[in-house]
Amino acid sequence: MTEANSTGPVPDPVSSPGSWRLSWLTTLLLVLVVVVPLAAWAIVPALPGPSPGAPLEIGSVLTGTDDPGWRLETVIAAKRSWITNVQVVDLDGDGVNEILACDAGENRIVVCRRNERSWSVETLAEDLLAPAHAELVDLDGDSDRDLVVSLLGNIQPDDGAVGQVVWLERTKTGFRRHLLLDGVRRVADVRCGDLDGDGDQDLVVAVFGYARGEVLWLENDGQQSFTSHRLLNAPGAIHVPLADFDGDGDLDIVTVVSQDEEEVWGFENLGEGQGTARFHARRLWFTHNHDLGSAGLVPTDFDGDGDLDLLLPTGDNFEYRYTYPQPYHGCLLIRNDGNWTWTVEPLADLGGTYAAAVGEMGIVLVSMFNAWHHHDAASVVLIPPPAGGARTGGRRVSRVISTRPSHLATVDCGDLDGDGRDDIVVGSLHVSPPFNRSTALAVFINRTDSRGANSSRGGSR
Amino acid sequence: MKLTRSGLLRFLLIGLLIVELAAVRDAVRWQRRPRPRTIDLQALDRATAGDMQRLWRTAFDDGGGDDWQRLAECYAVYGYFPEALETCRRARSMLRSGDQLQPWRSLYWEGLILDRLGRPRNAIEVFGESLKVAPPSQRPTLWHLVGRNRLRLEDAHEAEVAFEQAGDLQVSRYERARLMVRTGRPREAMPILDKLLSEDRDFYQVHHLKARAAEAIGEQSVAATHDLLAQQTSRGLPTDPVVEHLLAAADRFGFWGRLADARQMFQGRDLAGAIDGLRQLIGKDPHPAAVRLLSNALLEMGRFGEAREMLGRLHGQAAMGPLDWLMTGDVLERLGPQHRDAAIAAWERSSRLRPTEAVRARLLRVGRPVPP
Repeated sequence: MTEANSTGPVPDPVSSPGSWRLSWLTTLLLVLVVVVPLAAWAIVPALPGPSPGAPLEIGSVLTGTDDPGWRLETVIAAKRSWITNVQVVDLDGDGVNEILACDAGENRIVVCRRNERSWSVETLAEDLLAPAHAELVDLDGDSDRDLVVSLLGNIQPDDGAVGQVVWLERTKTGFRRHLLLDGVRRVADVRCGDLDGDGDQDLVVAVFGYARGEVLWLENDGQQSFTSHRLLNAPGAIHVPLADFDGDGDLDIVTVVSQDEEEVWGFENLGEGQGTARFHARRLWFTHNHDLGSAGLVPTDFDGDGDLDLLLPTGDNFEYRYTYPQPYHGCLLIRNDGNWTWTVEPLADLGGTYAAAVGEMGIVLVSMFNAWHHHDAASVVLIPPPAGGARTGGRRVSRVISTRPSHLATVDCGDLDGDGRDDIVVGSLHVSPPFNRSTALAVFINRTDSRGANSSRGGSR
Repeated sequence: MKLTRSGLLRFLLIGLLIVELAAVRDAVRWQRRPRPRTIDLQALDRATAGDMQRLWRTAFDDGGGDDWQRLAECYAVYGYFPEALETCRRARSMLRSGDQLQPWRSLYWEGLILDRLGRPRNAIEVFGESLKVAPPSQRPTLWHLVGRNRLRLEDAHEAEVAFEQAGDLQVSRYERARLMVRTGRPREAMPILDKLLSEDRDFYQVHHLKARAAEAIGEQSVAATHDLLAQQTSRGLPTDPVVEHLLAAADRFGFWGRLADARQMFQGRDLAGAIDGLRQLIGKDPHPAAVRLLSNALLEMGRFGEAREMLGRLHGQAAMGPLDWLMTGDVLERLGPQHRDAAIAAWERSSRLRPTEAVRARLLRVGRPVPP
């Protein structure tokens, strides 16, 4: 029987002594008072947090996965390394390529040889303070291969006269060291060639410096004694490749300036004249964006028209302690239109690009200043050659070869396993962490099925 | 009306239930409060990870705008720009009474973060918002940052306008002159450069630019003079305020903050304090800057054995430069005569890398030949 059906006055259960019968409402309230906090205690901590909202804005990070067509081999393992330059060369002239590397971390030049299943590393010269580039050349004309090395003297920003150019003269037992240039600021590059047509090897030197710098050509008197001539007074010259850019039969010089300004300069060899007057200087290109981060200059006949164009990797971010990809990082093509006229177009994007190299499979770019917190940020990409040899320009879609190792400062291409196909060698320069996918020097062995049509090769960083 | 005992009980129960429901509502809100983005702390050193965790917890637990902003700035100076951007934006929406955060400052940081994130257009917009609410003293810097981002977009004209708006800011005037030289107006640049040089003759960039301008207008002797002065002057005009700002702000947080503290103690000759602080920074994978400073402090404290051990940790972590070998020799020499040969070998190594006066003096002292 319910209360509603009962007759007579309803006794107050609470007021009835000895009787604690509760009304349904009171009972419900009592239950709720007990259940609500218990339920809250059980449920609230398990409630999901607020939805994260919009995905994070990650900017211009190029991501990807490792291409199984390229087998990664570690040549020198290290968590932190300062490899500044790698080149695929046949050092001893036996028809087998080796890797020549400048190791600014250990202040040495090494050669790495591939054995059956591993790599051997031999130190060719040590106590070279922050080597940046080594040029393999017969400097003294005695029919062997010497090395001419540019020394930064300090890999960190430094405006002091700490740079040098050193000649490692090949002897029967090794190398004999000669100092060719001293008392200059940090030297980033030296290249060799007969600039004045007298049959000996002259030098072109990129004195990067820091606040101040210059580009010099050193005239060889035939006895490896050099007279210095200044071509440009500007800090930040990185590379000074030599080639006959105008097709007149002599060697011209180009350089990229990357400190106060972002410029590419050309020095036309006039074929006559002494010292500085032998060259006509032209600014080939500049940008107002002095945050661009020019990182090198690589000559190659990109469009197959018989003259040399230039690849300009962009992405240097050394000035920042923690770097991030910028939308203008990647590679610019500076196309040689003849008669010292050039057009510039973006070729590919890759955050923090620090070097480019040309192989039969296309152009390889490597990234040093990337968002390495992203586990899938690309470190090596390939820009395939234009389909059917098309000579059109424009931004290309690059293919990610690998996301590791990170912090890559240098790259070159060449056949390292003797299968006739170009492989890729990369070197790391570790500036800021994370260093969780580090290797000092590594090789990507080409196991892809396809072969590119563009087999032209230029220099490398 | 008389309230029966039953009514009173119901009344009390309803009151209690209301209180409970309010508490539950607050608990749900608490549970669903905004949560700052987390980052992978495993990738960080101990000091930085600890600071970030603490800042995150403060912001999450009961944080207002100040706490969120502080976390955003910490994320930014350690390179976590996407996380910093979101946190910085949220900081402005979390402002509550008592917070010190000024909207212009939060917008300024957001602009910096967008700049580093590679979003110059958005950075310009946000700096523009900041300009609307910034105190007059901050406006030149903000205009300069607008100009800098215009340059990154290769928009030279708008960049020049922005630098002009920055008024007397030295670096902005320098940028204006640079644009003029670059765009074929070297004569216009000359008075600006002269004014800059009259204020301070010691900035090499200004001399260098004046040499370029003079060369462009055919004043070769002026160009030569300022080329020479550019070589002789010693100071640089800080031309990248973003770099400067981020580096300075890093000293407030984590590893770089502790290192800056230790450096200050070292310079103030509080060697014991510096050593204590640095010891806490040396983990499994120590940063070379901390190892070098700690080695130096230990050497100066006369704790040579520990200094040698610490210098040994530099191997594999960093390039051993001439100063490292010099210090190694000094430490070994003081460890006693049994280490003399090793000390000399270290000095000779230093000398081969770079024959400084300091190493020459030591080698001469022990009767060893020194390079010319």
